[in-house]
Amino acid sequence: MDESVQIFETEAHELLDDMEQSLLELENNPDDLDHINSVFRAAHTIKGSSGLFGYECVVTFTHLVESLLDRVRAGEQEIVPELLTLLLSCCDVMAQLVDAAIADQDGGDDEVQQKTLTLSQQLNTYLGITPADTDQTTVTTAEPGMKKFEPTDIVLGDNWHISIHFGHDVLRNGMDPLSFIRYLGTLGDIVNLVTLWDEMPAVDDMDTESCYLGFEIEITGNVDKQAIEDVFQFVMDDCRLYILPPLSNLSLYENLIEQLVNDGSLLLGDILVQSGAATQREIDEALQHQEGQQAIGQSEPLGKILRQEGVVHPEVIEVAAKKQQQVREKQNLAGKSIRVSADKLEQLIDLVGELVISSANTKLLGNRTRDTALIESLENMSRLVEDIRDTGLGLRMVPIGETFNRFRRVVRDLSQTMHKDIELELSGGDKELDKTVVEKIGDPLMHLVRNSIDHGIEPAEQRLQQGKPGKGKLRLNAYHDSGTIVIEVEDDGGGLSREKILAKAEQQGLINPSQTLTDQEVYRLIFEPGFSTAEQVTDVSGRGVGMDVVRRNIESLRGQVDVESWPGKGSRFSIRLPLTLAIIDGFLVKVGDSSYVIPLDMVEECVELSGMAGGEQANDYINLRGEVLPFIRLGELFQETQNQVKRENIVVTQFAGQKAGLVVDELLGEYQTVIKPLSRIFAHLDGVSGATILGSGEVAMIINVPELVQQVAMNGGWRARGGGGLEMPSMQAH
Amino acid sequence: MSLKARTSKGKCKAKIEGDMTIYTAGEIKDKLLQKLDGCEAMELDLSQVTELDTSGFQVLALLKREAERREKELQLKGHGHIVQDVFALFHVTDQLVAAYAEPEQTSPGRV
Repeated sequence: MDESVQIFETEAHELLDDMEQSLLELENNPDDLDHINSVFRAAHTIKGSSGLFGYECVVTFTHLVESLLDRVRAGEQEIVPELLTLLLSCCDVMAQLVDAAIADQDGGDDEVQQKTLTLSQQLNTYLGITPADTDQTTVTTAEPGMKKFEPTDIVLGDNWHISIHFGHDVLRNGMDPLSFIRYLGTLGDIVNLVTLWDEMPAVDDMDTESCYLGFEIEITGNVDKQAIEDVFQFVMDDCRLYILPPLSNLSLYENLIEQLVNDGSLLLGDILVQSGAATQREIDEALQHQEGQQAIGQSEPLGKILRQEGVVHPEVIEVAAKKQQQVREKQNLAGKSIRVSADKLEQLIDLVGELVISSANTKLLGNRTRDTALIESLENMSRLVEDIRDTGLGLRMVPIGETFNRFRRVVRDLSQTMHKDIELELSGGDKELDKTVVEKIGDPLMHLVRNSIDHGIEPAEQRLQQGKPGKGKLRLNAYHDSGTIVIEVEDDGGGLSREKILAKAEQQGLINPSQTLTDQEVYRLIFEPGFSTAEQVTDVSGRGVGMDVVRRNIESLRGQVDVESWPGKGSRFSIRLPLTLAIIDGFLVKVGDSSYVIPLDMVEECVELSGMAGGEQANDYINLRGEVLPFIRLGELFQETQNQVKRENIVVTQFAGQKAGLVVDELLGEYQTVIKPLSRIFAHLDGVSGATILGSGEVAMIINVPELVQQVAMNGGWRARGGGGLEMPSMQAH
Repeated sequence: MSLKARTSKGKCKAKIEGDMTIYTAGEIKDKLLQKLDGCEAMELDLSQVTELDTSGFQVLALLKREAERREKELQLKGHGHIVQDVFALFHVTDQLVAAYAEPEQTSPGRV
């Protein structure tokens, strides 16, 4: 794809996202001008750039949207929920049209065309245009980039207003105001002129060689401010000159200002000069005035001075100031971000991974030489490699807020479909996590949100009966917790029904009726395949393919999903995900002849097992400072050769509030671990989540702590489950 | 430049011939104001003015102001195209000459 088209695509979608967000904001604050303007700007920009590429259908449709928005902006059209719904749909169609246009199918397929037509008609209804007029509208829009001038702006006519008071010495200097006025007459028609001699002193003081005249002049014609000012060039130092542009020029200036290219250093004055609303001289004078004020400890903004001096219409200053603000914002953003293709980033991360491995190898070899200087230098290098690794991974981190924002629309639309009044609360949107994780978390989150709206939050009447506020609340929250990010979807609905779940689970044969299960265990059943309790299958959720898919998706990201519920009060789904998928800080341990890596974030502490009171060890429990700590022996679990070791160590790990000990032969210390995913054949291996290559070239398995911790905590030790051990796949390092 | 003036029965008839420019304006101002002092009404004939600049125009403006201030009648008349041009350019014809166009005000003053 052509690069410029690509940029257009990205920008158009960004703008449409902005537009959608602003429209949703408007729902809460219908009077917020900022949002109205930003919606308008988005539509306007899309129309403009689509025009550049010749995407007629996008232009035509967007023009209608823009026209309606223009009326909203002018306050002629009130913002009502139906209007927002229409505009949101327009947003969707614009996105489809843009995609279609880029795919060389301007106008889109039949479905899109049909939607476009329907929405166009609705827009026209708002605009009060009958179908007969529509053709005309399309004709006028056929020239993209053309600026339209609002007829409402031409209130007081097209006249420039010039106010000039000549200095006393003008005549003595050989200049005659008459000739200036005469010359001015050649620029345009002097519609009106008032000669003022009210400054003329009393007879005795009146010097016939001094000039006392002032003129208020209205002139019309195709002139710009600079040209008018040039007329008085020779008396510039000896006169008071104000030039006020015609009111009809206001929209021209506004348009010009909006069109100004961001050349990086736009000051308010520059904006006004470039648009022709003020001349350089006027700005210089105002700046001087400003400096003078600063000297005496006062300071007024340039815009205010210009307004006071009557140099520029306040409206124009406002637009210019807004433009300046926009430019600044853009610059700030530009200073903060740069677009890089995901491939390049991926490549970089891969290389960083290799670098980490190779530096581990170098370090190992270096240590063997016992050359202190070399070892020291290697230490230094590995510290740098660590920094590079962190920074490199940081590049891929994106805040989750954008994903969250998408749900505003979802919640809005769903609650309308379901006739429920639901408020969405977002928090923790600034928490960052790996881009790939963010991309993959969207679907599971969507499912949970839909589930909460559909099954969780009750209809308003039912809520009121239960003494809850009629408006349901859905909360998305994110926070960091020991190397993981936790994303919560919480609702204040009815909560999960233990009875229904049990009945359903029995019916499905998931559990035995005689089993006694804790609430937590019951709730987890909803993540079992084929489980859906919704008595009524709706189009929102409840097709029975829900929660188990959510769990699978999340587990494929090395994450976990859990649910808590309070009957009648609501429920909370928490998704726990690792921050990154590529490289982690690991804790290297030795079991038998093999090395294993335990993610360092989950390691709480290490204690010596032999030091513990012997009796309790038999049951795979130890007493850790008065706390019962279940443990498993990795050697047994992975059927490693049982070497006789002097001291066994327990690595105490914790995950999601649960603790478990892992008994290992030897502690080797911290280790930067590049995660190499296991191939599909080994994907379901219990107890390991991946592998890594050590500096020596040896392969080390990465312990799946969450899984082990849960198994240990639930079953009181691994063996209770009857799992004897695993056959380790024999692996050879490359 | 020359200024001819004759006052009778409180009415002064004056006529300026030649240029009314910055070089002569001072002299014209003094003379005209002096004449205005000595009369109740003044009729100023500008038909023979050959040149009028801003300085000269200011004298006429001053005279008009003074006449109004002292509640004396001032008529500017007979101005040729030179004066007309300037008046038109400054959009002051109405202001300065309005009275002149009114016939009933011109005739009774005549002697």
